Amino acid sequence: MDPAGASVANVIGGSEGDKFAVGNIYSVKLITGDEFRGIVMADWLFFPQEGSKPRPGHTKNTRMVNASFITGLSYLGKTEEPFLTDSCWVNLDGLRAKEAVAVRQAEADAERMGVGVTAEAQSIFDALSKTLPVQWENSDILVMKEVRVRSPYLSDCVFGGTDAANNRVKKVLELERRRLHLFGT
Amino acid sequence: MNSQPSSSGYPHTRVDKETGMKVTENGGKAGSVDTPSRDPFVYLTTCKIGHHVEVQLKNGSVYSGIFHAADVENNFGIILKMASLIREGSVRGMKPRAPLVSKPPSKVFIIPADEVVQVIAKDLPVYSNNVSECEKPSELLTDSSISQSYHVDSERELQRWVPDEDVPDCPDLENVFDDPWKRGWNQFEVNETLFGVTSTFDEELYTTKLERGPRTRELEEQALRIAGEIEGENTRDLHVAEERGLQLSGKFDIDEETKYSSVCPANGFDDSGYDEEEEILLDCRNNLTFGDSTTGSNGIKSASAGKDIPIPSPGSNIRNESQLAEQRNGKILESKPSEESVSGLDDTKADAAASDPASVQWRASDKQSSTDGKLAGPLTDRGKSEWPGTSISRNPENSAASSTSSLPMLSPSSSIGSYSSEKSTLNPNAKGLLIQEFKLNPNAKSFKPSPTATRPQSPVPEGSFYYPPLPQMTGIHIGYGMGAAFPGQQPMVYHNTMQPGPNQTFYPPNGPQYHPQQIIAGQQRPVLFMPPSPYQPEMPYKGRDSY
Repeated sequence: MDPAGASVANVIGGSEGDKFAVGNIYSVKLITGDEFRGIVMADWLFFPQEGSKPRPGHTKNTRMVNASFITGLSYLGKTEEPFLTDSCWVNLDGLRAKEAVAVRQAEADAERMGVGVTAEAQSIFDALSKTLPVQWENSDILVMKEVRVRSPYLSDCVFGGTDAANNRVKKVLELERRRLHLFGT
Repeated sequence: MNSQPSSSGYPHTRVDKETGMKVTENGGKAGSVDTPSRDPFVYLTTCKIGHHVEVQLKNGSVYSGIFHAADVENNFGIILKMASLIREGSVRGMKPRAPLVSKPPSKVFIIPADEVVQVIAKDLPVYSNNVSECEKPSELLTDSSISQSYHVDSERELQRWVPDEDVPDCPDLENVFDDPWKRGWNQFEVNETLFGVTSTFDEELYTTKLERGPRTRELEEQALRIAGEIEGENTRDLHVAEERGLQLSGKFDIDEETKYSSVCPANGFDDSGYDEEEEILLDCRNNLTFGDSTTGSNGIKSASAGKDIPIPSPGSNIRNESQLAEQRNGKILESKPSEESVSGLDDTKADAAASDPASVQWRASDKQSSTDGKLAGPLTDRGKSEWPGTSISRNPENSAASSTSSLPMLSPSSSIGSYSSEKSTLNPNAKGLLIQEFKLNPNAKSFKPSPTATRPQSPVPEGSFYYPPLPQMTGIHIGYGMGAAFPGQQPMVYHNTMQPGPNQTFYPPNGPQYHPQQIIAGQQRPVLFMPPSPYQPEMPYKGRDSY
């Protein structure tokens, strides 16, 4: 559950009120059972200690940890590497744009996710969506706005549409199912 | 510790760093963050805006969403957009990441501070002072992002392989196939017994024949010494260095991909120098193979100028030797006018002698010596060994000169004598270009392409004729299915590397539609003479089987 290599953690000031010095390395255990190691990045921020590959663009895995939930803490050492200098800057507009894009993307993804459907149904939906225009309608898959595939999404659950469309959807469904079974999804 | 951020608007994060960041005040609470010690904290929090984060709550459930805001002044309540529950907190076990989606993601999800246990942001871009450009959110859609299933993790967590416990019993992988003769294992035998297949494998077909004899030990030692020298050499190539155990560059952060891939990264790699070296190497080889054009031309010139012939370096200019040998033997080619030998000095004469207006002759701009039997046998193979690169225009001059030159102009030196009896010196380093030489048979009937050619007549634009590349490869004779009309040849094979493109039809220069009136004698282009038989238009070249 814990991503390998831990992360940077920012300890939210809590009742413990300790300020952790920058550069210290700690192994932290949380109340939820998570354990990780990291380097304090900036006053209550930890940074992954294990050899995390420096990704291009100076990205890091960070964690912000609420100090009140830390159950175990052990000091491991210290590192001299400076993480943040004074002249760091943030482009707020860029960030907002990024957020907008992300939100849009997430909304689009959400459209594709069926609500209350099984994982298998979702994978069938995804497979169909590669070649056919599909959308969810409750728990039915609506293909090309006319052919409907009901649960449990077998070949005989295909209704509606013209004959040609119907057959086509049936065929695609069969083949996709076979492929999915082959891959053990 | 329990105040919630207001839900009226979007609480903002105000950042206040020295380098003049913008301050956002969207209404709602305005806080001031003055404590310098909190700056990095706030900075990092700000970096998270727009980023996908996972928030773990007190009850263990994990929500994933886009970080929108955090109340840093107070107790760090968090607002996520499009948050969805990834993991149920109530169930204690490790649930897989793709459970049933029970409800659609919440557009806005507010988490009070006291519920937040941790916020995990992966690959958070942290800008330091030398990073001037901002991360541009691009809506680039990659193929895999479109087609991949939502539930599939984009990357697996890679773990280093550890051998199993029972490995020590296994022999070392590297030694398994060592020295089969010592282990007493002969795969060929086994195959024969098991499957009844006999093998015709002969190791020496594929590798240099080892001399086993009294000198074996000595040769082995020498080879080992050379190998040691090579292996100890410094190299600039990353891969070779690794094999040799050399630490090539000082930077130790070359990742595995760079180390082991064969693709050179764009930002400069260490083998940039190798291109030039390779080119130089190729040039050397070419010179060895084909002879330096300079020496060749010098030789010819001086021959015709009546001076002493400089003894050329061995391996090149054997053609000169042939000339000398010819002269020395007193056989002047012009004494056999009917001989249409394709010899460098005599081509014009030969053409004149042949003078068959109907025949279309093959003339390279620089002829190799003919392969007929009149010259010493060893000289037949030397066609390859020299490419003087002279142009046609020299030949008339040469032939004129030679016809007027008298025999005694050449002072045969002792070394010349050795040349004539020299074995064929096909350069072992020559690149694989075998040439078929042929001699025009003076008795062959002239070739008149008949209208009833096998191929339907089609108007062929001039430009579509295939002319083999000129001056660099002037000595190439293209041979097609010759049949028995040309006896006494050394059949060599020419690989026609220029394949016709898919849209062009390949019109060999002598195709049936080629009319005799269009003799291109005036042009200095090689044209192929071919008898009407077994020519198959569809397969321009069939290799030796076509004979």
